[in-house]
Amino acid sequence: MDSLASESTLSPTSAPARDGRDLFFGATNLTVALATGIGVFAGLPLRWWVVDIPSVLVIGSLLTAAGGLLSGAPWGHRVARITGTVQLLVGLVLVTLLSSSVSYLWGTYGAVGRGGALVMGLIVLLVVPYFIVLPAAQLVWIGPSLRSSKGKRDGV
Amino acid sequence: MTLRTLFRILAAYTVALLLICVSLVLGVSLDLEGAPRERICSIWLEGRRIAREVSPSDCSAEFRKKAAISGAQLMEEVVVDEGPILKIHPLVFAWSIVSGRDGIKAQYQGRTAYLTPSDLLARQLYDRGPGVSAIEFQVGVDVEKVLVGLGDELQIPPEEVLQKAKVTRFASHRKFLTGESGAVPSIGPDQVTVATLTASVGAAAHYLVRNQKPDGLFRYSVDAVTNEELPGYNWPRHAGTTLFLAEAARFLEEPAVAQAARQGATVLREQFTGPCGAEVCVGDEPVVNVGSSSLALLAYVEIVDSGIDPGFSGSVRQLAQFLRSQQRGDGEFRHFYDRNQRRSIDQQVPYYSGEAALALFRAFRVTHDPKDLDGAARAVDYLGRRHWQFFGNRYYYAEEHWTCQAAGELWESHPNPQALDLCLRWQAFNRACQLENYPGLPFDGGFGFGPFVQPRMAPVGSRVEAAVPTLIAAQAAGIDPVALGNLDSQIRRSLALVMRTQFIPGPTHLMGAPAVMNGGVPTSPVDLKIRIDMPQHVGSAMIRYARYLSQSARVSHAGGAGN
Repeated sequence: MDSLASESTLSPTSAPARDGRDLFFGATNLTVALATGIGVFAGLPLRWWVVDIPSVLVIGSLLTAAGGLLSGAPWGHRVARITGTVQLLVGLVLVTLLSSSVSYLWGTYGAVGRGGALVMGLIVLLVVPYFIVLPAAQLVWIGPSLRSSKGKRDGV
Repeated sequence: MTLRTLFRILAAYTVALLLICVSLVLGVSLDLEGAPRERICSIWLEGRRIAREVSPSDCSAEFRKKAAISGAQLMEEVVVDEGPILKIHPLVFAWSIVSGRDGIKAQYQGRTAYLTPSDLLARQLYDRGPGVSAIEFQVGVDVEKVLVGLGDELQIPPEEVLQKAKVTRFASHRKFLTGESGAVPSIGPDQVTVATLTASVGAAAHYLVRNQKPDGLFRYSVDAVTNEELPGYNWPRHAGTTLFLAEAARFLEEPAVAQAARQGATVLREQFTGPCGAEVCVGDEPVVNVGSSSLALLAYVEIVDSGIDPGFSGSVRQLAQFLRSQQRGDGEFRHFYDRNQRRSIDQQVPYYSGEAALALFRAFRVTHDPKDLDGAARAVDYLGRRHWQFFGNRYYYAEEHWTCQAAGELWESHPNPQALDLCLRWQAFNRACQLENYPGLPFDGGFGFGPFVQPRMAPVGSRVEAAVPTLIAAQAAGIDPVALGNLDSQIRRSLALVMRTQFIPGPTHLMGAPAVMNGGVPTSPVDLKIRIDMPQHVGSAMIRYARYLSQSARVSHAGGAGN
């Protein structure tokens, strides 16, 4: 179903029809929130506000989006769009930082060896599905916002 | 967001990220074969740098004259490339210095200070960065002390070095112009022969003899730079060192080494042996462990069996009996005994079961008691078949060097295919973690996960100690010759690394008392602390492989003569 067409027939406050994708992305948001919580607050041995505070915000927004999508709330898609954008930005920043760290170490040490490269590559690959692929898919599924799509329609 | 928009964003991001990464790699890497830049000339005397001159060309004649002091060594370190250090966080700073290879330069208000690789080694600042000190795992340099060192040279506080000085790292080539060369010898796997191994064993044994005190205790841990004894003592390692000395005495046929072994064993027997219920055990704590008793038993057996002192036979019987009393019905051992409550504690920690198994097996040589042999066989059976059983056990291993020594030595009388299989898989795992040379870092033969931390000698030695009996047992079992060849190659590479690292004579320009340190085996090529179990594991490993080479040569010769 064309998300643009479906949104154009609804008022701004009415909820889009809930389908399996709401449940799917609701569940994935919930899973990523849990994984992030465990990874940051159980996995990391020390507390550092630079990581902890953004993590709390990300987890909070993921849980909110999950709640909205799973319950079919009228604000569910809007929150999911915001959350997906934030998640994607966090993912791009994380991949940038990790890749830069790998590059810096590679340049410094000359060759990090098969084991080191494998471990670092695995860490990067763990981030990509949850913080790039999933939010990107979510943003494509939800489509552009009602306001931006309405504006484009009026401008034609 | 549409799919097209997303694709454009991600494509642009990917291109930008690639550019950033390539720029970083090229921007921070050093050309180790670059053209000479400044030359740093240093005079070292008794472990201290007493003079330095930096010039664009050779060390000046005047400076060379200064070096003509008895015992002084003139070293030239030629800078070949320089690169940036990110000071954004102490962790990043620490990790920006390649341990054992890079030096650090600081420039401030027209003045320049250098901490060359020799300076960093002398101050023991490599592999002292952030990490987990409980398991002695630290990566990078000690940033605080680096800043203090640079600050001293620039005559400014360390904080100003960090905030205001331009700090870079550099690569250099080093050579000695006068004095005894402390260059790392070029020893490869092909130079691992009976002759070279014998020389190394002798040097390691003589180091221990030289560093044994009149009461029989050893200088447990010595800073090779300052010749200071560091605090601490460990009885299982004392017993293990005594064992090596007894083995070395038999191998080298040297009375002085035999006497040192006897002294080490005597202090164990007379001062640190006492009752454990109805039995006798080694240790002075209220709760003793079987590790101390097992290693003491191994040492006593070697002392009796080699003829050094048959008077330890009684002690052999007593300790064997104690170990058997700690053994459960399934072959595992209870690792602790509470002397006050007169009861065993059924808990297990690493190493002790394998040590006890090996000790009981060897005790049989003296006691001729079948119960000792049976105890050893049951222990090896438990360790090989039941101890390390879980999903994923083929991808992760504990420290099995004592278990595999026991399994290998027991093969002739009590072959245990499951135990041999565990040991072969463990060695294959070790081989997967065996390091090769990195640019400027002759790591080949060590074990680790990359060039971030220099390889430690104790794990190298202990793995070879176990690899040799595993190799011998595997040959007897008819294991595939290709696998045996891989294991043999692994052993030779490790022993070559040990011989390159051993202080024969080592970096004497960094040592206050090089004659005292001669033959010692440091913790790593950059951690110049000699703890007694380094020469112990390494020396025992060398003896085992030297005997294996001699035996193989005899078998080949006999085979050739028979044709």
